[in-house]
Amino acid sequence: MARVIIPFPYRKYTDNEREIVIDAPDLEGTMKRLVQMHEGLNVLFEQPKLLSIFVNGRLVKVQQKDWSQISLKQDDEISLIIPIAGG
Amino acid sequence: MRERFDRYNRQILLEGWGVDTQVRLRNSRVFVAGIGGLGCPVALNLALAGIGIIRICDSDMVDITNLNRQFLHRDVHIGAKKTSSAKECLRGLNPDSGIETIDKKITSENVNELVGDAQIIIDCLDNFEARYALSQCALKKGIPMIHGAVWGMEGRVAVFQPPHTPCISCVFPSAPESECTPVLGAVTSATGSMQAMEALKFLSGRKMALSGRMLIMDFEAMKFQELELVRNPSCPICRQS
Repeated sequence: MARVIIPFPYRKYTDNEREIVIDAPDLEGTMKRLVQMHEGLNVLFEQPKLLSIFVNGRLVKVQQKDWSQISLKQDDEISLIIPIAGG
Repeated sequence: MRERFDRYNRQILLEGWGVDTQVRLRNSRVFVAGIGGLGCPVALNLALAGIGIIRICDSDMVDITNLNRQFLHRDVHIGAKKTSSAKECLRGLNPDSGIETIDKKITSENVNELVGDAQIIIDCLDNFEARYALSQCALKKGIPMIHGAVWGMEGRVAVFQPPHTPCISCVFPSAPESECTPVLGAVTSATGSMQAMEALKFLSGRKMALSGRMLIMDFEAMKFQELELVRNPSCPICRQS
């Protein structure tokens, strides 16, 4: 059961939920399930250059096609990070 | 000497601070890029702390929609240069601090000249084009850049200091489209104050806790995430440093 932290600009797609708990063995399964649950979050993956994924504060360096290699443990925290411009 | 530093008595009392550190701050020079939501709390805290030269750069005029968060500007300043209203307010808060103003847009062509001999850059901007220019300048001059950004109830702070850390382009290689972002004054105040805190540590000879890390503050849930930033070996800005 990993926790996915939704970036603020995209919480409109999760009914303003900050964290989505997902039971999947790896990053690929988690992301697929996330989009199934909240279809609007597809926008996150439409511009892959803007998205960085961190697991427990560490950057996931593999490409999307290899996300199945990133296995997840109970209570892992997945942060979806996009650039925000506001100042 | 004592009378001159009475204003700073309560920070001089900090462990390891003393008059020597205060003298060091008085001799410091900081470049504040943008005097909007983040720039106001940054410049305020630097001025109160007794920074010698605060160079503020912004080409915008004060608009009524700024006034929910940009507290150095007032109703009477609407239509005036932001740098002018900020300077007026900052000088009133601490006449010891020298406030230099630059009413120009930051570009890759002029950034080195604008930053000049500043020892640190504080990124309080609202666009990535100028952030990338600042980052290149910081790398060229070998000085740190403290990044801040806000969106809604979220604030972010990171310290970039390549080659010891990634640069902003390693972390965000592509810029988002510009947009009118929602924001609350308390979010910019808290985030900008944290940027100022890191700058004061650097200028006083302390370690910056966020060097190579990004703090993401969710002020709605009051939960913070801490990310370890890594260099991109093919980064167009810092790969050769």
